[in-house]
Amino acid sequence: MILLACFLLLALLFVLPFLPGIREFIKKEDASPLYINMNYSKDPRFFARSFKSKIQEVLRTAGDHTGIHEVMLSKPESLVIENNVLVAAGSRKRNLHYIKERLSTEAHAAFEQEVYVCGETIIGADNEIRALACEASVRILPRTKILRWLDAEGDVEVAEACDLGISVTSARKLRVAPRCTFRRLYGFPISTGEPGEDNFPSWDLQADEKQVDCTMIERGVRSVEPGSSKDGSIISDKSLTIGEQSRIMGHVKAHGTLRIGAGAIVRGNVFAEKDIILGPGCRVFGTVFTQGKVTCERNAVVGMEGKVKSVVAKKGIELQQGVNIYGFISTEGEGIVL
Amino acid sequence: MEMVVSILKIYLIFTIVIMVLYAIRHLIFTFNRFFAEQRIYYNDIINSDLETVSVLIPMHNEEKVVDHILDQLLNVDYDPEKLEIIPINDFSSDGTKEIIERYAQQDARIRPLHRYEGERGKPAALNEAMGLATGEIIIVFDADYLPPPGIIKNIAISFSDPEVGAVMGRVVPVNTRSNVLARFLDLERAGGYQVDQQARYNLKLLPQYGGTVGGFRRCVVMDLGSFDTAMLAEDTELTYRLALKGWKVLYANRAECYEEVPESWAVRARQIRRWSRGHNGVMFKYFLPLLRSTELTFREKFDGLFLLLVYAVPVILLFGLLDSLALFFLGEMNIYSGVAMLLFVGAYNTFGNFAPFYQVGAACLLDGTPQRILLLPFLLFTFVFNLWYVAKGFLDAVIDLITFRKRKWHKTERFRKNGVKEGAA
Repeated sequence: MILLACFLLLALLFVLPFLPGIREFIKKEDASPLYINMNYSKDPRFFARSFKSKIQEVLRTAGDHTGIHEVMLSKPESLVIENNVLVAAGSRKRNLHYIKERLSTEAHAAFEQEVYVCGETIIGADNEIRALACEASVRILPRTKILRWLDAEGDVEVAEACDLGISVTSARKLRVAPRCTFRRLYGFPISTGEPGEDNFPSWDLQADEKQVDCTMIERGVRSVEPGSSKDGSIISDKSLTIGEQSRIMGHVKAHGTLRIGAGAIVRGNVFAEKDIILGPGCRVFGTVFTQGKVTCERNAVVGMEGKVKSVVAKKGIELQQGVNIYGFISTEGEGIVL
Repeated sequence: MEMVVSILKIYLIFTIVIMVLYAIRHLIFTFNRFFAEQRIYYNDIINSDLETVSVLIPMHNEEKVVDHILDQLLNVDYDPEKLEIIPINDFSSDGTKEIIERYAQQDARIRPLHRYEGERGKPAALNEAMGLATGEIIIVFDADYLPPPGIIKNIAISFSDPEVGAVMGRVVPVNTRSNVLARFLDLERAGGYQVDQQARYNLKLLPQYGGTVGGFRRCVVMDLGSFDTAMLAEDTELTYRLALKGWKVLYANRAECYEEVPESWAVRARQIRRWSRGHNGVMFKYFLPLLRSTELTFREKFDGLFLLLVYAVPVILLFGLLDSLALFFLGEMNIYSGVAMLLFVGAYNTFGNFAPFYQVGAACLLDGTPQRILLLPFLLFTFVFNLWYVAKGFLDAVIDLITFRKRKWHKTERFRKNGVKEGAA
């Protein structure tokens, strides 16, 4: 009897670890394949496009006459449709808004829900905007805070000390003033110069265009002499300094910190494992990517007209005055204009 | 007799050391994924000047799946001017050729290659297709894969880094609801990609190019002499060939793609035996060159050795188990005694034995599918199954090495049923 009890106990102890698994085999709670979004395609303006298409769908079915409409987006919402809107100082708007013409707000106003504006938009100082999509240009006055995103088909001009939330995107120019903070920006170009400045060198860009063989790589480089020229790509296993006024026809990669001197030109992409410093007036035609921080000093330029390039840095991005970047900026840390 | 016992004891200690080292490695990877800083990947980059891409799909009698993968690839989000798709009909005798031709007539991006002469097999097929390809980047998919629209961009963007020679994406089983085996393989894949490969990327080690859902630079691979057709694991071989020449192999966790895993134990046995044979063939070829390499960092070399030996370890363990039995019956298990040994055994049983399972469990949590963790105890059975067939594959590789016999390519049987693709979508 004791022997049988021991045997049963042993059998139970043996089976015990498998019981939860047997339950899972029967109930199949996590039996489906892991989810892969079969419609995913990277789009820096995704938030705005998605929001606009939802509102446009609502307008197609419910019409666009002014007033308050109860609509169903991801949950039931009240959508306010108006023509021209001037938001008084200190007032808060709590509903979704679709504005058929212009929007302007006075100081200390707030929108707690998304806003879709078809005309010009002027956001007053010290405003708080959850998210805004605009079919024309947008001007944001100082110290305004974007909680999530802002997107415009026209130019976007941001005054000092604004918090630009998760992303600010524009199909055209995006000009950002000092002391603004950001995580993702998209524009052509994204610029930190004063209006009217022209920071672009007069090089004939097409004349510089040259195909670089991917195997033309010089490895183990620690520095490039000022004023010198390299035909291929260069890779450094440590930190790397590219001297002032030098020209690199290929790509650059450093496993440490990478400093590109004033007035230097890199035709390709720039990669580093630590910080990247783009010196004053230097130009990178390709993408800039690092696991550290990127600092773009005065008048540095990334990318070129008609192309989309990126500056991606894990730990932060600092942009000094007169910087122009054609395309996309992204950081998990803090982006700031100095 | 004393000599034999000494050898048995030394071998047992060797086995323990190897197992402890692998256990530490698994634990480091698991902790890295949970607690350490994660390196960002290149998929945040937006670049309008991506390279031209040729997608190669080796196929041998793939009529069950060929239309699924071609439909998916024709929907990818990549500049059509910079993309070509080359389905490689490798000696098919079913309807594969006709299906490919039908697609080629409908879309100019599809440029088929029909092979009925020369050497059969994936490496030979890829070599011939690379001669035909015009893309700077070659991306390879097996025929049973279902690539999502963004995957070509996600892989191609990695080559913006001038040091990257090859990139591996994440493989996700699609037929997990079909049976118990598919669920076990789903767990193994999750641990292998979500934790093991990603931790190796984070730690700047040596992620493995897996031969599918991945890409490489055409000019580099052709410069290195294309694929070695004598190798069954041409993907692992490429990983080491690139690494020894200073090229980096990266893992892109966001480049996810569905695949079909075997639903029959016999098919799985053949598959894992072939992998073991191929991988161990690479181990014999690259063990010494890896140690002598001047291109790799110390940590890459160390990880490269672990990876190279990964299909030899089950054999070492199998002999270690037999060895311990022999020592036990000889009454010679008193290798070392004392409290330190007791603590060591206790610690190893607590952490070491379960280290690979921690890795799989961590992957389930990171994937947000915690119920899958409940299946972990069942991996004990697949462990024994794998041990046996990996050992057989190792023996095959040893015989290959001694006799120089020619390796024959065996295709993995497909199980695709109607609705699998739709289920994934």
